[in-house]
Amino acid sequence: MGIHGIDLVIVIAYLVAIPIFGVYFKKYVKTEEDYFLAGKMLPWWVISMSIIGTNIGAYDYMGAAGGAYRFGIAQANYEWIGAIPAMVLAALLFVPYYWKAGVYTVPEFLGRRYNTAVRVIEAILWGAFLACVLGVFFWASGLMLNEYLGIPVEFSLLITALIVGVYTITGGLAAVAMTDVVQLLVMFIGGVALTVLGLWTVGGWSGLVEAIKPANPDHFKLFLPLSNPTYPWLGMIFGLALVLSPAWWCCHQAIIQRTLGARSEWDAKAGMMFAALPKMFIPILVVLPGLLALALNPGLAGADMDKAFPWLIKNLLPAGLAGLVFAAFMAALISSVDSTLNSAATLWTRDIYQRFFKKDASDKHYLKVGRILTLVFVIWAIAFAPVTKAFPGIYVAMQTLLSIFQGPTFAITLLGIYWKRANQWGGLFGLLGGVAISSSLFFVTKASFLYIAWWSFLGSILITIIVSLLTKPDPIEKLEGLVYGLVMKDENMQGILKKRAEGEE
Amino acid sequence: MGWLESLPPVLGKYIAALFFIGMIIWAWFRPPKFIFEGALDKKRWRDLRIWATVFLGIQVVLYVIF
Repeated sequence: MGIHGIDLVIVIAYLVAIPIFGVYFKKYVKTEEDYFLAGKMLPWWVISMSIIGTNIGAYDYMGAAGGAYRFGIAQANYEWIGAIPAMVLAALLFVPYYWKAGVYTVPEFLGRRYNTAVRVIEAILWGAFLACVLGVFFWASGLMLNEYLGIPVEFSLLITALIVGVYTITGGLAAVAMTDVVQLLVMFIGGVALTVLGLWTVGGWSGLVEAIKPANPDHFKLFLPLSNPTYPWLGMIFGLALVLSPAWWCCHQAIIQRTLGARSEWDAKAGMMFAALPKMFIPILVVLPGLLALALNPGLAGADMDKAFPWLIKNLLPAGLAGLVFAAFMAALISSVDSTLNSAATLWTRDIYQRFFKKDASDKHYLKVGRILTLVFVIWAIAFAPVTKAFPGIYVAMQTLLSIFQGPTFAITLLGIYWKRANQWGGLFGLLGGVAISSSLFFVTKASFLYIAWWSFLGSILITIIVSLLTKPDPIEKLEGLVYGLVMKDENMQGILKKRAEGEE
Repeated sequence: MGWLESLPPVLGKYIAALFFIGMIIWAWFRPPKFIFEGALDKKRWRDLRIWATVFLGIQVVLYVIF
């Protein structure tokens, strides 16, 4: 694709400005806590924008626009019923307990609440998932730079590594979160520009409906019949809204880590809650473009439907705007890459290195290890990225693997926070049993992952309850500060936990 | 499971609306002390239950319309 001079200037200015801005935050990094949790100084509005920057990746633009092209606004369920209630739940139930516990990772919390085995299983799963996803993200960014700027893919990978690596390695979470704020603004400016121009071209909202509805009557319905294999409405409610979405928003390391870096418990809760506001508008950036592409070019078929978004950029946008939208596209990608990189390093440093290799080293030592691991992940991502080309199913396979664990993980985390009788054996067997249920359903019945999540969640809840009731309860001292009733009713404990979370003791 | 297959998608709209309303009610059952824990002051705009009501209320409207 040819690119105009003004577009090139916009893209290069953006790619140069982001790392310079990110590196500025290096001066605030003196300790491990500064690096992994931004020194616990993040205000709520930074957390919320960083959460959405992390959540929305380039794959969302491509996949969601393609989904909207195929099935219509049902795709928006992933941004609305599949996110907003879970974000409220995370803000008002999960986040305050993570924050008060003073942990760095979700597996660390589960390890404290249950036992080391649960922590290790979760840490290995998330560690492997985040490392694999990095390779996929890097490859996607290499392809994008290659497509739009004509730079060879291998060189594009190095450029991405340089842009993201420089500020993530030096500035840690503070740099990642602050650049995410800028990235989200770029995403919205570019996305809104594309949507407004698209709507103007098709004759507004009514023009869009008139162009699509006659041939696709269900494209403006949020819930589709149960015969729809991808978005059956029952699966959307029970699988997505009640299990997968809370599992994502309440237990995903890269999402939760921002709230752990909050300057106060209220900022942690408010950051997660306020993220629901930009999240509600994400369909304007990723779903509407799919519908606009359908109205303007109903001829895309098969895998080409996933190219609905690039088709719009290529055919709709004038010089200047194309560069802006491409910058938005890159912003979505880079804001996900930096967060994944930082979270992977945090998880491997805290849950694996610190737990199994060197327990009582100095703060400076872990800071150094965190930086080295971030660099290792950058190098790993460059090396692993071309592998994703040879095995295009890797990303889907990793997502599937994660969905097998999501229902059980959410089940034991929920019971862990809400039910003090849930003990270490209940948690361990609940996790393993739930994974066995979801694996069996996946390999034997080939059911939709929406239903698999629901049944594995229920199975895991049941197993955790039964095993906990059949075995000895955990001592109360172990549970203090980690379980709902044991924090809320004890003001003294609340004070101690607050100090602990703020690093005062 | 034939009966399940015959359930109309419009039923989903009502279940979703009830789900959002249920979440709003649940949010208002959170004690004010818990909601404001760590806040600089107790000004009305810091009440996260109001935020939850606005965000989930918008969802109710969206799911009723579409």
